[in-house]
Amino acid sequence: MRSKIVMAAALIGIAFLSGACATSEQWGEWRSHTTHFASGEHGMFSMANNMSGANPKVTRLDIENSRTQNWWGKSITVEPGQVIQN
Amino acid sequence: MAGVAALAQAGPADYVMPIEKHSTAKGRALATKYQPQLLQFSDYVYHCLPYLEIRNGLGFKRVPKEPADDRYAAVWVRAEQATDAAFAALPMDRQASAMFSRYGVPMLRRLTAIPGIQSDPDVYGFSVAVEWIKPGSDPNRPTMEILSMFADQASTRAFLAKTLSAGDYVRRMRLTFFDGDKEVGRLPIEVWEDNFVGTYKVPGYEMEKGKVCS
Repeated sequence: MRSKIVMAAALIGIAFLSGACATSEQWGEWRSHTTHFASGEHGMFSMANNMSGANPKVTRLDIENSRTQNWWGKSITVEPGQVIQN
Repeated sequence: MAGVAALAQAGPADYVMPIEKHSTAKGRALATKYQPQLLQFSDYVYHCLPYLEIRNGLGFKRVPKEPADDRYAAVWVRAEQATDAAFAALPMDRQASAMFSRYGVPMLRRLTAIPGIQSDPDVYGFSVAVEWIKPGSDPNRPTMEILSMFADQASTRAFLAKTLSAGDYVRRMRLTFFDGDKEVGRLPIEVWEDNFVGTYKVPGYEMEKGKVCS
């Protein structure tokens, strides 16, 4: 429970800081790719690693970790067997 | 917590369907034979196209409910994208066309490049499913849209070699669209050139050392 609270606090902090540090160029680039990889979570993520505005870094492990947080929640979809058979 | 830690460390191998999960001997034999190539494919998507996530295991699958054991080299990808007004305004078939052109065709190109498959009589064809969040759906319980296709080897290779038109290729596909938990059926999709996958670089993405994308 405690770890969840710490994680939530860290994410809120990152969101606040990243929003505050984003430059107009960064947001411009973001907007230019709106059809892709631009969910709020990923945006927050990218900015969080770019506090200096000079050397942004997002690793594959960062992306994997963000997915495992299940930020899409439970989705409405078909059973995999309706799409393809193993 | 242990489960979360294990998931957090999921790597390319975790996106390949285990051999034993293939339901027939033919499927298991193909999965065994091409295991290194499937891992290589998964590694490419994992590191080079981080905005895509392989779903339900890369492997040799077949058409649902078909009794014949025709095996297709198959990948199902979830494309992560934000709400976009222009995309949302498109009719369903145009959205599906855009997603297939952007992500489906490059996946087909990669599948057909797996060494050995072209001359393998046990590989009937190729299958790609592209999944995305339906524009405007509840972010807390998003509705997924899925376009799935199956096509034989010869038609797919002819299409990629531009000796078969996109229209003719689509007509030969077994194509199914799913809107949330409903099967919509076939959509009149179009396929056009889209070099996004080959040119787009995620801002700030730092590739793992030693990895090369080509």
